Amino acid sequence: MNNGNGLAIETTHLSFSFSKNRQVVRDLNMQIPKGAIYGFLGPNGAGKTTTIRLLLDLLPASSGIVKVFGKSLRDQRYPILSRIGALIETPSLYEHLTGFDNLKATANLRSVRKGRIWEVLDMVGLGSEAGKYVHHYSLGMKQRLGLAIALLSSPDLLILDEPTNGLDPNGIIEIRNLLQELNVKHGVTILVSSHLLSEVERLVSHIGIIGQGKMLFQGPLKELQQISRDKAIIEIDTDDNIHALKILLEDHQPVVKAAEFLEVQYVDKDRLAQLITLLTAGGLRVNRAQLVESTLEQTFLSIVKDDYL
Amino acid sequence: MNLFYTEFIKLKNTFALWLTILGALFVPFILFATYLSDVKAFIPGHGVNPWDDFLIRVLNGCCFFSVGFILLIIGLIVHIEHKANAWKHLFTLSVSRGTIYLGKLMVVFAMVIGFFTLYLSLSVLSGVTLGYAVPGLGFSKFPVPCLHLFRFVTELLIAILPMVFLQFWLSFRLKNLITSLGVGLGGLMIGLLLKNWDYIIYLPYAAPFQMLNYGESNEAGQSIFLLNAVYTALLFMVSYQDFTKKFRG
Repeated sequence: MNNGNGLAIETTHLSFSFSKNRQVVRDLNMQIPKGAIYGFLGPNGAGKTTTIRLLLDLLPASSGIVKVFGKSLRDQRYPILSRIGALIETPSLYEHLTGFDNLKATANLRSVRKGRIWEVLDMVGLGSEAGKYVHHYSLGMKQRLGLAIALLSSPDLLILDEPTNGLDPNGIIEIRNLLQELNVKHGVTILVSSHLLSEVERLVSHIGIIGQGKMLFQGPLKELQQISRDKAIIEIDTDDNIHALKILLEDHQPVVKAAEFLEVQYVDKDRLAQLITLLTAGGLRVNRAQLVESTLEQTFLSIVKDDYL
Repeated sequence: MNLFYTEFIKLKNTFALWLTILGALFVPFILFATYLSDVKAFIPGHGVNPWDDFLIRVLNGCCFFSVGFILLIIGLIVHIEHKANAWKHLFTLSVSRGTIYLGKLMVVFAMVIGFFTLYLSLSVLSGVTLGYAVPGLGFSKFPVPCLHLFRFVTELLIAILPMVFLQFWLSFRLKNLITSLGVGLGGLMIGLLLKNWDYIIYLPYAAPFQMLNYGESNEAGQSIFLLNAVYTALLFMVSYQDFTKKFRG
């Protein structure tokens, strides 16, 4: 996908198991280019959070290598972690403290200046709620505060595990815009996990799909869109489908006969018009010719489903 | 220093902070009220130093109550991280696990030392106040035995070191505050009930009760100090290793 120098994260044959019989991550090769927004997708229990924990050295890998910005995580843990901001599962918040004090606690540990606290509060839209105790925050506000904590150190790499959990549609859009801005204006590489493609589809530039601990698909979003397009078909119904099948096969069209209609692989609009002309010229009446596209979500689900079958 | 300061930010609005103040206030206040409510019973004989009797009560109170408070303070300080699910966050910062361990431990000791200082200062203050309020009690006729107090608190601190390290370890390993407190209080109960058993000195939780009725003639055996030193070193090393190498939060 990219050469080693251009990668923010690279894992090689990464594996992890909680016990001998419970392998959670299997031989995972992940490649996240610098400057990408990488959507890490998979159903619940697929191994997303465990992989993220391995990337942050919260769990020891059974085997394999993790490299961040070309450096081995095992050998250069602290320099690497200083460039990462992370939000894993539910945000870690001290509910008896105010939003501001929560940020101050992390700012002290990361030697971040006080002014930056107000900057990140404004970025996530919590500037006016800074003095409120966190136990009075809504779920969405807590999620935003968690994101603000991750942003404190102006990281080069942001790792977010299901960051839109608990957010209303407006909140989701705001966070999406914020992440896009960070990516475009500041060049921050972002890894964002989700179990729903629809949630990250408009945000990401690259996709990684994990199922049962294995990487099932990885590449630019365009590649997944192409797979999706390749799965599009034209459903054709005529007054004599058996004759129509014969005509199309003689014309070397990739056609199959379903119970009530014919299915031809969709290539482009011209081909669609050509097929209709061909059938009409053969004396058939075309009752219906319909383009059936596979959505990105369906493609994603079929990739995941194929793995589970 | 940043970490130490940060730990204190986390203690804002917590029961741990109030516990240190209220716990230290409890026994001196009860003693003060008891002396005032029945003055006649406490008027010393001619030439008898009232501080001796007063301090026996103060120091026994310290041995009995302080250990319970200390267990609770340790539990509450560590529980802040469990409750906030914050270990994973701390471990993703560019701060070593050893620094996090030592920062937390420093706060525990600061609170314990703060508790003892406050407890003994308030005890002395209540004795001095009694001396002024009721001259017949004789407190103002004799100097405050500061050296005796200092010796006691130093020996008590050394005696409870293994218990502090053990409880600190239990507190970060056991997520449930009640469980870690239960183990600690169970240890204290055994230490108190079997106080006179020859081998009880091997139980870290029994150490404070070996200092009951502390007097000038008390001489803590060198072997007990040695045992405490070994326990302290051992528990520190094992808990530090566990925290830095195995603990996942």
